[in-house]
Amino acid sequence: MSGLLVSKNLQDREIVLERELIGSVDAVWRCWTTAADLEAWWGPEGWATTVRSLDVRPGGLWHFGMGPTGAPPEVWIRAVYSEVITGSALSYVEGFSDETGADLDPESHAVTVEFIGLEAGRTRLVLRTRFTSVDRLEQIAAMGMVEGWSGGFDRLEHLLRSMR
Amino acid sequence: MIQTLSALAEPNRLAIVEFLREGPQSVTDIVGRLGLSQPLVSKHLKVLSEVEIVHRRVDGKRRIYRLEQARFAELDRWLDSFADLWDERLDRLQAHLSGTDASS
Repeated sequence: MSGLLVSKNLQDREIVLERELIGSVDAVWRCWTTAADLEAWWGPEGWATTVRSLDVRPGGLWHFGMGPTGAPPEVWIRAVYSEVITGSALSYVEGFSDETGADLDPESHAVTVEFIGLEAGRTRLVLRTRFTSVDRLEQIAAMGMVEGWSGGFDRLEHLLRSMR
Repeated sequence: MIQTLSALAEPNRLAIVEFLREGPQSVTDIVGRLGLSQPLVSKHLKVLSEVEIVHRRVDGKRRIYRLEQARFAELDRWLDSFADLWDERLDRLQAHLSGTDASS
């Protein structure tokens, strides 16, 4: 029971997720803004994340790849920060990319992460994702992200294993 | 699912859907509630029917529309799966924060 709160706004194509974590705001912030920490938890399960660039300031680039553990990244993502309020909020526009960090996605989606400190070393994370268009949703669905990391990517991983 | 979202992206169509959440309505009722012309309402209802967001029933001279639940269940499942993937990711964040080696 993780206590995830989900609210969906169809009109704005926005989904808001909220969850409380055990950890100080500083620690949670660090996990989002330090390459080594991001690589440790970003996942998905069974996959490794490789951070190429992490320039946490407005206009700065966050470029990373994801691929099955032990194999080169297969999916590259680039995000450009639009707002950075240290220890409090991160906004970025995220889209598909390649190894060079090129912007290959005309329909990036906007993500805002709020870090709210609670008493006794707890932090509430509020994640807002707003999709620019329905085409965008279709594209993400096609990548298997929508089926859930543990769905699409696990199947892919099993497939890759069986091919070895 | 994509068609569902496209159809709902138009504010008047979304308003029709919101109204139908109160229960089945005739075209006349919908025209009265939205303050739009009947041809325009009919046009929106046609789009909503085509993607099976609404279901039409003819009752004498009246056309009664109600929501087609299956479409909304589909959209809801899609958004739930998006939430699930984030929930799993945040499980790993929590494990990392707690200093376990589960995610290292």
